[in-house]
Amino acid sequence: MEGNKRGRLDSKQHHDRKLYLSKRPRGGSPGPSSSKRKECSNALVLDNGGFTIKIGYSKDNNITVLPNHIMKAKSERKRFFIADQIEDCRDLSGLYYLTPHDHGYISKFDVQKNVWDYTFNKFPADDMPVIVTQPIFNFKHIQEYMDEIFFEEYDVKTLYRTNSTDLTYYQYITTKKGQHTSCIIVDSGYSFTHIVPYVNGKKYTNGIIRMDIGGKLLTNYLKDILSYRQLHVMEETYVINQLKEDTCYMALDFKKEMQTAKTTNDIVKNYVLPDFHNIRRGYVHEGEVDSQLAENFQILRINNERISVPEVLMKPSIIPGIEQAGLAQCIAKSIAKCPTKYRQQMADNIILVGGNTNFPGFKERVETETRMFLPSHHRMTVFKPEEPIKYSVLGGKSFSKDPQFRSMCVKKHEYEEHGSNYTYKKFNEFVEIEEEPPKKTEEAPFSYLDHWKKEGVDIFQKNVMKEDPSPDVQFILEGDDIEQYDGKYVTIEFEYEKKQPPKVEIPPPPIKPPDISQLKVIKKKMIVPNSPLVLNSNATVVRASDLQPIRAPTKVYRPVFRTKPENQKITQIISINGATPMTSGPLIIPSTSGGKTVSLGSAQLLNNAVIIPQNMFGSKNLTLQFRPIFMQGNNIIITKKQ
Amino acid sequence: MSKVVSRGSTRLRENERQRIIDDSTRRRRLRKFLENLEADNFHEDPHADLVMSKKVPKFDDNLESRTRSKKRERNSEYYQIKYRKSFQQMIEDDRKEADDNNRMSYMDLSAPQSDFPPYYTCAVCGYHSNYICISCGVRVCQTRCFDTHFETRCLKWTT
Repeated sequence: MEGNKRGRLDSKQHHDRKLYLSKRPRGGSPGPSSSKRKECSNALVLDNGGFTIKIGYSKDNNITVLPNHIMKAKSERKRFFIADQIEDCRDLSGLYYLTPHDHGYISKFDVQKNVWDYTFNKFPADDMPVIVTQPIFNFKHIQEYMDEIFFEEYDVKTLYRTNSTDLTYYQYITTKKGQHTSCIIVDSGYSFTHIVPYVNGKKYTNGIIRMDIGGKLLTNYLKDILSYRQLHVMEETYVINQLKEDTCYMALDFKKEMQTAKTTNDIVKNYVLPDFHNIRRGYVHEGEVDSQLAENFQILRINNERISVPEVLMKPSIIPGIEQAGLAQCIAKSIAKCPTKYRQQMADNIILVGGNTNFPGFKERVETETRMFLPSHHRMTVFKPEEPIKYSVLGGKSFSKDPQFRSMCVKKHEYEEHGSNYTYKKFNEFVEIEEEPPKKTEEAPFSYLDHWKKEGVDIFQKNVMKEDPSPDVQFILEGDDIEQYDGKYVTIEFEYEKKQPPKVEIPPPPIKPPDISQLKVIKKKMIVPNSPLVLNSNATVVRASDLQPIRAPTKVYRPVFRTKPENQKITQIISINGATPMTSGPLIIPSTSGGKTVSLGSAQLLNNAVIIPQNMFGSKNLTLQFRPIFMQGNNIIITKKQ
Repeated sequence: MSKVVSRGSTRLRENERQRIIDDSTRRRRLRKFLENLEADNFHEDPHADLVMSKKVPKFDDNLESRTRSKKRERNSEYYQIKYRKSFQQMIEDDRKEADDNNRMSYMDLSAPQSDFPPYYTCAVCGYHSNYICISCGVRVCQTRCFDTHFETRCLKWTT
């Protein structure tokens, strides 16, 4: 055990020395170590996407795209095709995919290992550093797997694991703009579409948005609608994917193009499906379809599918059940989540990468639609690289030549010493940028209407009481009733007791609301501000004859509390029966009838009166809290009135 | 025995007979539809019934050319057994860990709801749709499309 440990330490020292030697600037004769150093500068970049693996050495210019699947064909049994072995397969109909990714994250580890085995066999990593990509917020579980397989299985000496958008960002800032440019990267891939903002040179995690719409969903959707409308192609994922790539395009004006598709034949394309004997790949047949062609081959007539399928990215609601916002809206939302001072720069640097951006017209559409969501003073530029699929590998290649690259890698002996947690910490710096101070609430533009509404000015004379007969019942409250004042509002509590009905009378039907005339005030209490209010106690009971129905057919009696004199305005009702009403509009108040059932009543706040519904009086107590304005006089008179 | 002739509108009677799917079933159908859109394959594994002999897969032969220490050689099943977690489990674990570290997780990144009303397309012809099928809630755009839908798909995917 000890010996082992020492051995490892020795190897580490040796390694360090080697590194030191290779780092040392040297002049003069090129020795053997310089060739070693040269070799070290080569690196293998592997962008592990959901659909394809993009791989290339940093020294040469080639980037190879391999399918990230194991495929099984119907025709060739007892054999399956890993990655680009599929080129050997003659009959591609009914191809069965074994995909390592589930929702963009590796979940079938055995499949992934087979594909990687094949890939590394083709592209041996030897001793050079390896850059591998992983999805944003890759799960720890998968990261452990990747560590184990790379360090222990493939004997990788130095590993750098990163998000593909990081590499894209690096490539963009080194080739196009200066350091620390803020930008926003739209990575629309096979499994999902990520929108990743980079603020001041770092990924801004709070602004990342993921749309669950990717190339797989689009292909499957196209498969679904074509199978329903024309020909059963549900099993032909491979062919329909090619069809999608060949015919679909992003409409600049979707509604207009749909109308064109409906009325004319401008958009229709005839796609000849491959039969894998005479035609190996489907193609678009220009011009009329003659009978001979129609007899010999299967032809799909693609009309509005050409535009409506890519349109799903912009309007996900085309697919029923998806409620997410469209791409342009998400870009705008992501920008809006970022600190204000970087937003202009971000709108100026929108980068589109990933396979879906290859739809013709994609860039123009994103440009026009995002423009609508951004503030008008923002300048906006959209950049789409020539090869959006391979762009991140290009970034990885140039990143491997960065002087900082070495320090960011994890070496094999480090992994062996510290384990997987070390690499996890090293590769997942969750960048946090200092938060902006909370925004001051912007003052809304002055509106007279709102102002008057707040002041309670009745400009439309809606609430003016036209008839104002002398009050019949008055509760005039006295200073003695003042019990307590917390400086805010007045509390008045009424207590009612129901009179016993005469025995001779037939009891009223149960649903009929209790009559106010049957109520007697037995106690009143008022809590009034410690103000120069002079109140006198003088209470009378409502007479039944004074009650008149407000609406004749329904015969609902609605008692009104009214201040007197009228220029005392009730500006706000604090609570009625303990329920807090809204400041305007009808009030919803729970009332207890008989102390058991709770029904909803509504009261109305007028300019200087409170209308309280009839059924409120079924309760024993009625507590009314309101905030009055004393404008004239010093009496507050509360009138109970129909 | 007199023949009982029911009276009244035939249309109304037929409407009564028409089954209307309740909300939860509709939602289940939608979810199933979305799951199918995420699926890799529609059909079953064509090789499922085959018994693979060990030497047949071609990639194994390729791998032998690689020079690697023998003790490190692990077959692919090793990883599937060691890292046995489904996507849902990984999401759950990630969320727990993210909560502990106070960072964003997979669930937080999901795009928000749209600010605009949804754009509906006819399930039959693909153009803009204004109507829904009463029975199953699928969008259609005109009577002709509705008839096609009614004869082919309506109430027919349900199990």
